[in-house]
Amino acid sequence: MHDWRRAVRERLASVGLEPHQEADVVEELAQELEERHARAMREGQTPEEAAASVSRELASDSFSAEIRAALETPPPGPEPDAGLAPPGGGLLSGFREDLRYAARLLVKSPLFTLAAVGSLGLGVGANTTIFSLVSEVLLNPLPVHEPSRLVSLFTTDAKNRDRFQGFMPTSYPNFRDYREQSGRVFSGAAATLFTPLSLTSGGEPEQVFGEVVTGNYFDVLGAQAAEGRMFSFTAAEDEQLGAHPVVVLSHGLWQRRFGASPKVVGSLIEIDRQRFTVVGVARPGFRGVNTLGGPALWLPVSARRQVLTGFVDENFDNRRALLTNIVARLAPSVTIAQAQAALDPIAAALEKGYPQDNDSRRAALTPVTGLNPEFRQDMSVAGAVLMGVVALVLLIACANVANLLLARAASRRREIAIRIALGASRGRLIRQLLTESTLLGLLAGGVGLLIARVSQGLLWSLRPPFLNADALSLGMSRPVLAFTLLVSLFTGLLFGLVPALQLSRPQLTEHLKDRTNRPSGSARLFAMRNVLVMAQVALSLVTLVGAGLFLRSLQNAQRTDPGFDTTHLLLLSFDTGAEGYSGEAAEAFEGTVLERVRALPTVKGAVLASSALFNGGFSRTVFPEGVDPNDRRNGRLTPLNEVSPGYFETVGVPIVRGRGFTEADRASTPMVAVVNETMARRLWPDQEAIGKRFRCFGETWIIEVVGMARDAKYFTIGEDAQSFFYFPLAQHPSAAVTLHVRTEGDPSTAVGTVRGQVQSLDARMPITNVQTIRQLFDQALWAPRMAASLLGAFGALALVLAALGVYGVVSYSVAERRQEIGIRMAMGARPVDMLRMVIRQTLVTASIGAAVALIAAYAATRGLGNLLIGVPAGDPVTFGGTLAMILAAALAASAWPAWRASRTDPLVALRYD
Amino acid sequence: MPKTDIPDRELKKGSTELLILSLLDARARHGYDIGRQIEVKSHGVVQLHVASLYPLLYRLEKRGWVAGRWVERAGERRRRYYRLTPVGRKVLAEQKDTWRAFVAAVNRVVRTAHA
Repeated sequence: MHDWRRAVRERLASVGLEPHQEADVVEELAQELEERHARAMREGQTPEEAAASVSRELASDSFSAEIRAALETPPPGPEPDAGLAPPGGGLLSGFREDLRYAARLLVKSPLFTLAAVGSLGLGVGANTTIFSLVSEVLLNPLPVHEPSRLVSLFTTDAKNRDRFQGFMPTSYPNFRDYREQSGRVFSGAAATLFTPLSLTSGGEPEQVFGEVVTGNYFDVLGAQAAEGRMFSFTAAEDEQLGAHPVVVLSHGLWQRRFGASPKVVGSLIEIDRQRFTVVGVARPGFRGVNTLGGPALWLPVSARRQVLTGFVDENFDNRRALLTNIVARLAPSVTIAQAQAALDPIAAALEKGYPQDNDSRRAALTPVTGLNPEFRQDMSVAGAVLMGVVALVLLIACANVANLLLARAASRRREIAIRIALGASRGRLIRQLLTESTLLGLLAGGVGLLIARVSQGLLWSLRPPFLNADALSLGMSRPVLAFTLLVSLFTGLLFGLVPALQLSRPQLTEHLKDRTNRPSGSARLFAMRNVLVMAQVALSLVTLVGAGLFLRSLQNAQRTDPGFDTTHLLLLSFDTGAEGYSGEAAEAFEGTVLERVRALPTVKGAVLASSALFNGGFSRTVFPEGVDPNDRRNGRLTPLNEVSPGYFETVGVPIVRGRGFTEADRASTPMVAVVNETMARRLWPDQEAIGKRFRCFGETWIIEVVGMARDAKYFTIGEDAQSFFYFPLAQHPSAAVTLHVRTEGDPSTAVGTVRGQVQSLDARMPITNVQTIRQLFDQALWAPRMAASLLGAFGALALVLAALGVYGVVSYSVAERRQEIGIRMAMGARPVDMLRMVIRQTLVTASIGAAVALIAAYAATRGLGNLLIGVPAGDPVTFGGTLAMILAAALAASAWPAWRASRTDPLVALRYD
Repeated sequence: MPKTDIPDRELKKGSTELLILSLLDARARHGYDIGRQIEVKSHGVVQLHVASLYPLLYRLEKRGWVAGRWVERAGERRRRYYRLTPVGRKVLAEQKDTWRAFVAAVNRVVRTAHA
């Protein structure tokens, strides 16, 4: 007799059952085996054969595991998953079937697929667009050799701590000292300076931006030429002024202006009326150490006297003039901290050696950046805001699709129930459902890329006016594609998980039953669908608050009085210096231009200024009479503009006291100035400024204040009142000037004639920046406008998506509750009661979401202070308006389903289902 | 009809549950009886190994669809009998529905495939 009990006990040894449980199982199974054994023998097998075949019964590999799974302390809820993977399969087996099945399902319900892919695509597209900008501006390493080993050297000044003054350029003489004395920590240090140039070869005269760089610039960056070679000069050669008239063209300029002809290399081109030999063309994408826009060409610093003009030319070798940007490459194995430590004593020695020029000035190293670190800071905040907003939009879209999936789940319950009945485990089902949502996510990713492709163009059209079209290349770079892929996968999981978990809950009894007595899920306030609606309302409210704040900010900016006439001015710039005029010839040319333009019939006035409106001006260190003007520490750095007689009347800046400039203010007469109100108040508080006198650093002459002009905006709309003053152009001639023309009517109609007048005097004179004051004003608003446009667009998108979500949920819940509504109406409820019921429930849900969002938005908008103009972050108007808008949208979205509910025919509803 | 191992484990597991529940619908049975009945009634198409039958029975019992009880009869050793619980009866009804729907669906597919 075979001992079957022992055989079973051996098989169960590894299972570890409770003793009494094991005894039961052993007894039961042993009986079974015994009977099988007996039967096998009855059927004619020998005892040995029978024993062998019965033993095989127990031989299954999974036997112990299955017994254990079956007898373990029962977990509440779903069964443990025994059938997750088919035999011989890993986690990925069956994935292809899942994918095929998912694809078939999506094709089968095209409307659902379209709605889901569409709204997610918009969300992903918005994310991709913004990310491509953020990545290009903030994350992308510069296209140079080993950018991580490059550092930027800035000058800091303990006495000038205003915004954008924390990190300043460096004077060329200081740079040369740093370069000479820091030899061990840097393998090279180069200086660069941007300058406008007039290019007369290869087509119409054109103003381009060039970069004047030290001869080692390309070596420091490790830049290679696409054609010819990059130039390379020693520090000594850099000081052989005019001895090396060579130029390297940017790839863009070479293509655009010289038709990408290799013959250009070696030829002579004319820049600022001087001849330069083209030695090479930079590689495509190379723009030096500039994140936003690169120069059209590079000239060696030894050519500085030939191409620089005015203040920059005069002060290039002035130790106090902070003109050049410094980039250096760290020597091998030197850290930035070590390099900084090596620079500090040099900076201290420079301050000691030149106390006048370098008072409280030090050198600060940062990892190389194509942006001013403080500007970069602002850009980072702006980038974070934008990324946050598009993330919210995406979340709203996700909630929408989750809702669609939940609604569709109802119709899939039967399919799921069958699969569960057939033994599909929960894990298996969830995987199938997630495969579907991931597929949706990836499709949306594809659509998102297409949308991003288009919206990148739109986004770029909002770029600030100081950027050329080719300043950045927004495109589908590898990081952008990777980002989109990740976002798509993540969204697929995000919106798929909740419905998958809900749908796969094995409630056979409920889902296979008649629907009539099922509790109507969406009647419960915190049912999943309602929670999704709350989330959508909350997310869109936060987005809209952001949009609202920036719209209000733009509104404020537009209402801001810039302090001059904003309707009838035409501006255009030309540079007599670049065309070889000097001294009296230039003055004569300018005089003739003014005369001719003033003679035009529609022109009411014309004046010249060294700086255009909103372009500020150079700054000088100003010393009021009575302090020691030889000690720079007493001075105040103040921006100024040099203007011709009649400027204030023509431009519309009122003279508050005293007088403006007249033809009588000549080079030969006493020096005079007009100061603005803020400067008067700061230099001579509580005193009459007219008649006061001041000096500028480095000049012997003393200047008398003859007038006080009203404060205006000089650089940006958002700026605070700041000191500013004016010199007569006749006493301080400038080669580059902007003509300000006041016209009778629309200034844009005068462009042709005014331009013609200038060019009739000299056909080769390049005329640049032809703008009406309105255009200029609009451009000055680029930042608030860009913010308002982007956030407004995303806010609108969020609102529409959320409204669609609300509409979907309410209509679904009305359809689901038809019977209940029918019963209510059969019991005597009036249609208007049903209307009210549905709308009330929607509003309650929406209000809960809104309440949460108001708190979140208040917290989230704290950090926006710097980016807003005249709007407090917690602006009650914005918050109130947004709340009203959201609730109105929720109301509107629920109106149609509510109306349908009120039209429910009790009889039809009772028969339904 | 040749003996076939239904390849899809899901299908087999699900259908085996249905088979067991169906057998217990009329009367309580012990394990050996269940296995034997399935084999006989399916004309030998479905044969359950001990290693599959008992885990399944225990699983059904844990879900509360069947209840097992030791029964002693005069002259026999005690045996464990399984009967359908009320929940099990409900599930059976549902699974039968589902099964019919499934079979009908399969038939439709198969028919159209050959049409």
